[in-house]
Amino acid sequence: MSAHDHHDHSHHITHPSVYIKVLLALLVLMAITVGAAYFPYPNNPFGSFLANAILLIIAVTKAILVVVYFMGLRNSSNLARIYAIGGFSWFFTLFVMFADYTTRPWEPVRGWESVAPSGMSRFRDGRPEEKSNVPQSGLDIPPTVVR
Amino acid sequence: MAHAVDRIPIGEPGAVFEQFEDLEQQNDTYIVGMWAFLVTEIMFFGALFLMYTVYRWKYQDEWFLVHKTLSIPMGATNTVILLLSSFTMVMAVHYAQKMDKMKHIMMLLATCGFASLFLVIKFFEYSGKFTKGLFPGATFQWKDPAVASGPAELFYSLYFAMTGLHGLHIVIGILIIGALAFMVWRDHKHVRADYIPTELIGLYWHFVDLVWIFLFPLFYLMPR
Repeated sequence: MSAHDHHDHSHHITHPSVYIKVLLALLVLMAITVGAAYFPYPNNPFGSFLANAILLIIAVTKAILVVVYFMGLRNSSNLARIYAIGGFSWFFTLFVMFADYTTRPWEPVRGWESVAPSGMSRFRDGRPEEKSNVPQSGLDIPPTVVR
Repeated sequence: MAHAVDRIPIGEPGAVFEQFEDLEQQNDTYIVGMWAFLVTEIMFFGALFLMYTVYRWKYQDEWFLVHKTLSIPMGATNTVILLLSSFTMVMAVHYAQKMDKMKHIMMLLATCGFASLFLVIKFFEYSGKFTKGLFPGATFQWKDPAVASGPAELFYSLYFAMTGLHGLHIVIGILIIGALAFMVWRDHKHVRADYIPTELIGLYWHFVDLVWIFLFPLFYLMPR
């Protein structure tokens, strides 16, 4: 990084042009994510996956820019980095463990219906729809795709 | 509050307390301490984000329809405002390092200004939801027959809980950044000779921005 106009032994002073570039990148990403929300994704599981993935990838990219440049992680001590990375890893792990919850319909177990997403209720056990006024999405995910 | 003895001539380096080897170690210690606090904040908000995920998973279709009642232009404006405030905050740290008192104060006040603008827009958003009876509780009214009232109320419960908690962080941010600007103006030695207090408050402020970076797409832009 050629961004340091001077530094002494105690701290780095980053040139403001770096912060301006990061701000512009954040604003561009923010415009892209709003634009992507209006994009006509195909109304099927792939379109849904794509829409959510693009949304989250942009959010995570913005978060990384803020943490690395604005919060100064690139200039901070390794100990501070361990804390930062530890905190966000914990957050990520929370959702990895949640994969158990989201994949339950693939391995149906008695009693799981109470947590099943409503959009999938029409696939279960050939039972009649309980909440028939609920609009159906295009999420045509079979209940037992993986065996 | 600032006695004469607390004030130092401009340009004098920050003091190193006796338990530290040097200024670098002292600064790192403060920053690690602040990160330890921010990790507890990540855990705090993380639980709410997980709760959001559980119920969005359960009510995918309903929440997709309910989220359309939120205003994307208002949310997007607030996102831009918070990103700008993060930039002015980082510039405040920059001028604190350069000991440029006036620019330091101006950037802190700009951050407070953006934060207040955020709250003003949030106020209009909230009052709109209140008038439409969308605040969860006994008075909650959901008129769209395509979605059951329960999931809609759940959506708004989490919307108000998460944006409300975030808004509380904004209010706290305005208070501490305002207090910091006042102390800089009064030449208080801890904030004039040492950039670390500005840096730590900056870390807090960027964290608040970070939370909004996720709240905005997950509530306002939620895809099917």
